[in-house]
Amino acid sequence: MTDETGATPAPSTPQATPHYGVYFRIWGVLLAITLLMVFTKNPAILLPGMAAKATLIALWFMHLKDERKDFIFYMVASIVLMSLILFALIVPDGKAM
Amino acid sequence: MTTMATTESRWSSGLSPFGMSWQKLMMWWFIVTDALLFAGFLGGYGFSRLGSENWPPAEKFFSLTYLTVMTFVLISSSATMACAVAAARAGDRAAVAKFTGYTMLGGIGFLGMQVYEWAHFISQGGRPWAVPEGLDARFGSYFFLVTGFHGTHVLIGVLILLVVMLRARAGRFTANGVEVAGLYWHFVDLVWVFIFGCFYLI
Repeated sequence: MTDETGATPAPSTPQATPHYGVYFRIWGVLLAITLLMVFTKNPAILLPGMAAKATLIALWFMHLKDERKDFIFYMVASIVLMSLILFALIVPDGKAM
Repeated sequence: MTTMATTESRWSSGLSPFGMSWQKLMMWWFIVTDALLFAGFLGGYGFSRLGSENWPPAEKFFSLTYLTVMTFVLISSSATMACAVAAARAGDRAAVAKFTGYTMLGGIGFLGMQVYEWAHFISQGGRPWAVPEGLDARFGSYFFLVTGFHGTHVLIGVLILLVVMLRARAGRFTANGVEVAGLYWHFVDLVWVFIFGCFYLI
């Protein structure tokens, strides 16, 4: 809900009691993934682990899941495209140096 | 009053970009550009490391247990920041101040631990231009650049949180303002996920 300038107005009266439980559940999952990554140090777990943690933070903590689909696309596509170019096409050339 | 409303209407075009506030949209824009900058740093790190024959293993200089605790502290502060945003949306002033304070403490704790980590590495002979035992000096360059740049982000975040907390205690906060500050803080946590993974685990 936004006003004519696009700003989300602060609630004039308190809304429903906030539910903090979901954030602590995400927190627990993030800690569990971190521990799994530290104990295994296996690249097959590290890369998906980093991706999973980043996704959880972006979707739930940053509330990206609540934004419009086109906005999510612009944000994610730009970073994914840049990362693919960087890490799949340029970084491997370091081996040849 | 009518003139002001007309001017605002012209500037906003009567549109709300992506259905969110301009402040929030600009913070997202900043986050994407800053993420690309960090990606560039980590890409350069990977490029140099792959081409190196004497790249030092991170465990040689750093305690993984200590770094895991640092990571826990930052993730925990991100969770409390998410709670602060939820509290702001509910208009709970006391909870906003409390959770923002916890988040700030987490940030200060992380920064203190990073200072110790730097001091420890420097005491072992680590410099931005040199690494002990003749190992690849670029490790030192990337370490101080990337963790220093991230630490600066954390420091700025702590200052922003201090302002948010003081404003919340004075009852002068908006849900939008707390959410924008929260976006920045979560981004700092998100970047650390990749720094921790790339620098210390892979």
